[in-house]
This record gives sequence, C-alpha cells and structure tokens, in this order.
Amino acid sequence: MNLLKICYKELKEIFADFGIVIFVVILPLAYPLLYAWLYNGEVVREVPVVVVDESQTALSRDFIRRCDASPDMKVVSHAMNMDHAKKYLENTEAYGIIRIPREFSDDINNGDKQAVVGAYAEMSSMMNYKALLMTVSMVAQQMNKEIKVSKMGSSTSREAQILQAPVTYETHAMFNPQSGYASFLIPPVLMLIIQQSLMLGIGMHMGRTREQTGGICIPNNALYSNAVEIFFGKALAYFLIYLVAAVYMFAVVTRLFDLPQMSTFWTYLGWMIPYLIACIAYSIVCSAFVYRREDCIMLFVFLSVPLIFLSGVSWPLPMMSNGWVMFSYLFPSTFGIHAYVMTNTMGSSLEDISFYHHGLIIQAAVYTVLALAYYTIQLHRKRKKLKLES
Amino acid sequence: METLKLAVQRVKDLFLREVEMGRQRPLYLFCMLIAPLFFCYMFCSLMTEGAPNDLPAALVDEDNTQVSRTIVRTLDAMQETNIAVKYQSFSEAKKSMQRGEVYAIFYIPEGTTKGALTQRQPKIYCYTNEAYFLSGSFLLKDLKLIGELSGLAITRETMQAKGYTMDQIMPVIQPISVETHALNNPSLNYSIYLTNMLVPGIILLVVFLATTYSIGLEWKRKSHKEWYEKAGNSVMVALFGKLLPQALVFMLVFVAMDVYLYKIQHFVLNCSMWRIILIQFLSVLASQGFAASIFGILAGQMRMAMSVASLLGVLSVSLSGFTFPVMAMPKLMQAVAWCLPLRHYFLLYVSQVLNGFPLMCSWKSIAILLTIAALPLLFVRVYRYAFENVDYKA
Repeated sequence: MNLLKICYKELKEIFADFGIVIFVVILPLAYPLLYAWLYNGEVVREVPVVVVDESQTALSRDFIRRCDASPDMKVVSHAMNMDHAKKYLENTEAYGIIRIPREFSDDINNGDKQAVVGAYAEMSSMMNYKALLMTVSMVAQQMNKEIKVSKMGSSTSREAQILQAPVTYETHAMFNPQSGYASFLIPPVLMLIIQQSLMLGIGMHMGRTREQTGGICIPNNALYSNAVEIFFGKALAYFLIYLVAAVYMFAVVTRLFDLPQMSTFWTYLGWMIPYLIACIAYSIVCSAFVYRREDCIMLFVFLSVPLIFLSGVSWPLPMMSNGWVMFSYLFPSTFGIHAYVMTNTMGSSLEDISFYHHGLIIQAAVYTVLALAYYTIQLHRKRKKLKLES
Repeated sequence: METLKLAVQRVKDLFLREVEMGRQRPLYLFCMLIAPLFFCYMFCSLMTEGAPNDLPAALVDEDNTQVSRTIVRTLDAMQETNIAVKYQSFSEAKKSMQRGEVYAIFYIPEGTTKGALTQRQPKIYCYTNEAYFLSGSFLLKDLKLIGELSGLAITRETMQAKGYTMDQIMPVIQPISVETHALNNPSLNYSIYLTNMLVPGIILLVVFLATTYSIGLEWKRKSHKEWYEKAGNSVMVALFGKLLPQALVFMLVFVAMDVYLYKIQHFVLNCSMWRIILIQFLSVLASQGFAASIFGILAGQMRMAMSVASLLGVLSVSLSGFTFPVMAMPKLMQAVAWCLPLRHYFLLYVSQVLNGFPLMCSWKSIAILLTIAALPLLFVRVYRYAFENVDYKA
C-alpha cells in the first residue's frame, strides 16, 4: 500500500521537523488555552466613571449610589462640571460621565416633566459603552418602578392606574446568557486555529520539500509516483493529527473554560471531518505559493484577522453584500466557524446547518480536485526534470 | 564628521540593495503593500452601513387579541426592527433562530391582554441571539427604545383617545429617562470602531513578519556576511539600511489608509493629518525595533524569530484592547500588552484621533514607542556574534 507508506513517511517528517511541530502540534494545543484564558473574564466589570451631580439631592445621591453598587460600574470621582469631568477621560481615569441635571428631583416630584439623566460614553470600547448604557438604564428603570409605586397610592382614577402599569418588557440573551466575550469569540477562534495552523504546517512542509528538490513539491523518492497516492497519503497524515486536535478542542478546551457546549460528539464529527479535509486540501493548494519554508509565515499569518471577520460572526451576515459573501465562501473557515457556533453554542442540529455542512463537503471536493491537479502537474515536472538530469 | 558621512553613504548603498531585493520578490511586496490596502477596502465596503440596523427578527403572538395586535403594529412600524417572519409558537421561532434565519424573537405570551386590563403588568419578551455578540449588542440598544414604546402601545392609544399628549404621559410612566451620548461616534458606526484598528493591526503584524523575514533571509541565502561588510561591520548601519526602505513602504500604506479612511470615508479625525501620520511612523519604527530585537534575542534563528513574531503579532490584535478591554484581562496579559507597539498605537489613536485630546495626555505611549524603537541597541553584541558565527538552520 503506497498510500499508507507515504502517510507514514510524511508523519515521520512532520515530527522530525521542529518548525512544523510548532505549527501543527504546539499551536493547536496552546493557542486555544491562551485565548480562552485571555477572555476568561467574559465581561467587563467595574468600568470607571465620573459623576457630575448638579442636583445634589437625596434622590440624585441615591441614583449615583445605585450605579456605583452595580457590578459593571465604579464611580471613581465626582467632578464639579462637565469640563472638569472631561479631564478624567483625557487621562483615561474614567471611560464615561454621568450627569444629573439641577432639576432632577423637582421634575420627579412634580411629575409634569421627565427628569433626564445624561450618560456620556467614551467610544474606544463598545463593551465599556454597553456596560455604562445598561447600568444607567437599569438603575433608572428600578427607580422609576419605586417612584410609581409611591405615587400610585394617591391616584384613584382608572386612567392614572392604566398609565402607571403598562405592559412591561423583558429581554433575554439566548445561547450566551451573560453576553460573555469568551463564549462568543473562542468558538470561532478554535475553528480558525485549525485552518490557519494547517496552512502554516503544510506550507512549511511543502516549502521544505521544494528547497530539497529544487523547486518541486514532491520528494525525490520512487514512492511518490502517483498524484492520488501522494495527496491522500499526505492528507491522511495531517488528518490524523488534526482529528486529535479537533477532539481536544471539543472535549478539553470547551470544558476547561466552561464554554457553551450544546452539540453532541457525533454531530461535531459529522461536519468536522469534511472541514478537516477541506482545510487540508485548501492548504495544499495555497502552498503552491510557498517557495521557501519561511514564506508560509509571511503569506498566511496575517489572513487570520480578516478571515474571522469575513466569516460573519462579528459583522452580521444579512448586512454583507452578496459579493463579499461569495468571496467568504472561498475559505473553509467561513463554513467551519458557522457550523461550530451554530451546533455547539446554539444547539442547532446537522439538519439546521445543512447549508454550511454541504458547503464544507463541496469545498472538500473542489479543493481535493484542485490539489490532485496540482500534484499531477508537479509530477509531470518532476519526471521531466529527472529525465533531463539523467 | 568623516565617519558620519561614510555611515550615511553606507546606509544609502544598503537602501538601494534592499530596493533591488524587494523588486525581485513580488510576493513579498504584495504582502506589504497590496494586502493591507485590500483589507482596508474590504472592511469599509463590508460595513458601509455603519451599524447593523435591519437585522431580521421573528414574532410570536400567542395572545392574538386586539391589544396584542396593537403591540405588533407598533413593533412593525419601528425603524429599528425588521420583523421578517411570524410564527405560531415559540419553539418554531427558536428553530428559525437555530437555522440562522433570525437574530431576535419578539414573544407576546397568552394572557397579555387580560393581564393588562386587570393591572397585573404583563410582560412581553424579546430574545436576542448572543452567540453573535455584535448583533446582540446592537439589538440591545434598539430594544431599550422598543421596550419603552411597545409597553406604551396600549396605554398610549387609550390615553391619546382621552386627549392626553405624550408630554403628559411620559413623566408618569417613566419619571426618569436616560439620554445616552456616544462621544465622537454618535451613530455607533461600527466601521469607525473596527476598521480604524483592524487595518493598523494587520499592517503592524506585517511589519513584524517582514522585519524578521527580511533579516532572516540574509542568513538563509548566506548573504549576511556581504550585508555586514557593506555596512562597514556596523550592526546599526546594517539594520538601518535594511529597515528604512521598508519603513517607507509601510508609511506609504499608512498614508493611503489615512487618505481613504479620513478623507474619502470621512471617519472621525479630531487631530491634524500630520499628527496621525507621525503616530503611525512612530508605531512602524517601534514594530521594526521590536521584531529586530526578537531576532536578536534568538541570535539569528530565522524560523524561530518568525514564529515568535507571528505569535505576538496576532496576539497584539487582541491585546491592543479595542474589542475586549485590557483592564478585564488577566494581570500578566495586561503587562504583556503594555510592551506591544499596537497597544500604544491604539491608545494614541483613541486619545488623539478619536477624542482629539491634547498631545501631552499621551506622552507615556509616545515615550514607550520611542524606547521600543531603540531596543535593538541592546542587542548589537548578539547581532555581531550572529553575523560572525551563526549559520542558517532550518
């Protein structure tokens, strides 16, 4: 069986080359832990804010105290006026300002005008903004309820009662109840690590072969004489390594960091197998551009940032133009990321993700054909070269 | 004086040598020049709309009365919502969410009308899909408004029929209201928030890679001795002559990005164009200094240096803190972030470009960038050793 012999030889080569081992073993093991640890805090707590209290009444102090007591916000200081408060933003001692106007208590007591609290957020971070907005809104809502209850007793008319008790409203964050950042970002990052580390590993491996043979990515070895055997032998070697990595991510990383896990193991394997094949074949095709071992780092590393974005987990898919959506279908990571997020975070079934599942199968098939074509051409060149040399 | 003149002449020679080498490697120039600009265009083009406003939502009205239909009508009419489908039951709507068709579900349970009429404050619910963090966050902002308005839907109709105005109704229902001001990005334009950092993140990552790659290639091609000789056996002259032309190429990319973002796309720019260019120049120099130091620390091991540079370069994007704030990260990572050029580029960008604060507020970041740029001075001896004694190892 030539195919298995090639697979065995490739595996031996991989583990003998520390440069490749870094990418296909150490990186998939360590990077998930590093990122999960980095975002393990999930949410921002105690965002520092400064307060401008122009009202200086019991009610305004109550409002401020409640903000300070909330887990997401911390009042670091009181400022005399807005200009003074801005200084805190300039020195990054605070990321927001809460301004309570002079008429605050009067408006509440008179009940003829709404009291308006100003929440000013510095916009360098959406998460700080969100924490500020949510906390201030929550405190306002809470106080509104109490103010209404205290006023309720005095009114008897039906109108007033209807007014004070309208339909209320509640929001729920599904699939990620605490709106955690790790629960959102780590699943896509895991899938991207699989694709990117494969590209780097296979790229370096093929660059190395080229350096040894003088430009052809098939080793000078009689074993390597059939494109189908070469491709599947190499693919099998990487597939075996990455099957372990994939199981590790699903079974170890996810549990270790309490990330969402709604998928069953078999559902996971159901789309993971085509994903791995697609990634491997895609990496071999892309490695056509790698002439030196180290070229792969230069060429592939910086793709990570745009690819995660292009997948549509950050900027939502319905907002993307068709052209860019089609462009994103070139990369296995797009389908892999969606398949993982949907099955594992949202609990979708293989049927629910059939579009992405089929997408992966098609990608695996197309890139396999391309890789076979590439190897056929390379084999042809290898034979010509050998003939010339002899 | 004479030695200075000679040094300048040598830098010039090396500069030309580097330009010639760059010309022979189109792929390498592609990574430096074309790719970052392509992604800059891509991010802007993807996020043309600024904020994701029209995300599809599903609606489940189990109550199905005159009153609940009033609520539905209110939700439907709002600009912030896009009710794409209506379902009979919540589980059908949830299935639709799991297929990725809708991003939110509005749910009016049975008995809402009855509850409203008997003063029991019934609830209507909204479920957002927080597996997609960003859409969830944006929906939340809109939901606050929607919540206020839909809660009012019933009362408003009856009260307005009785001749009350909104100004009279609101203070009773909601004595305190919150007015949010998103400073310098009032429309919450997501592209301003992301593109401004993603593109420099990619550029400075490529600086890391290009620096270690181009220095390492000298050893790989066994031309390091020639390079060293041409520099008059001076490590600093050698590095200077090699990295300066690259710095110019990267500045070309940065200026093209600036023109595109701040002049064509009209992103917020609250300082002069010169100041942002200066910040970017400093960041490029610091990134080159950082990467050249990595190469020095590893005493000329090209592959190892590139692996470390790519690891830290990719990590920089996260550690710069523009998505997840640094203060919420583990202490050790906060310290690492402090040493990375991209983190200081972010701090400078926020303070100067976004908020237009005085330059003095950012002196710390400027000082750190300058220090990092000068870091290779510490490794002159290691470089000298590498030039004289180290050979390329695969």
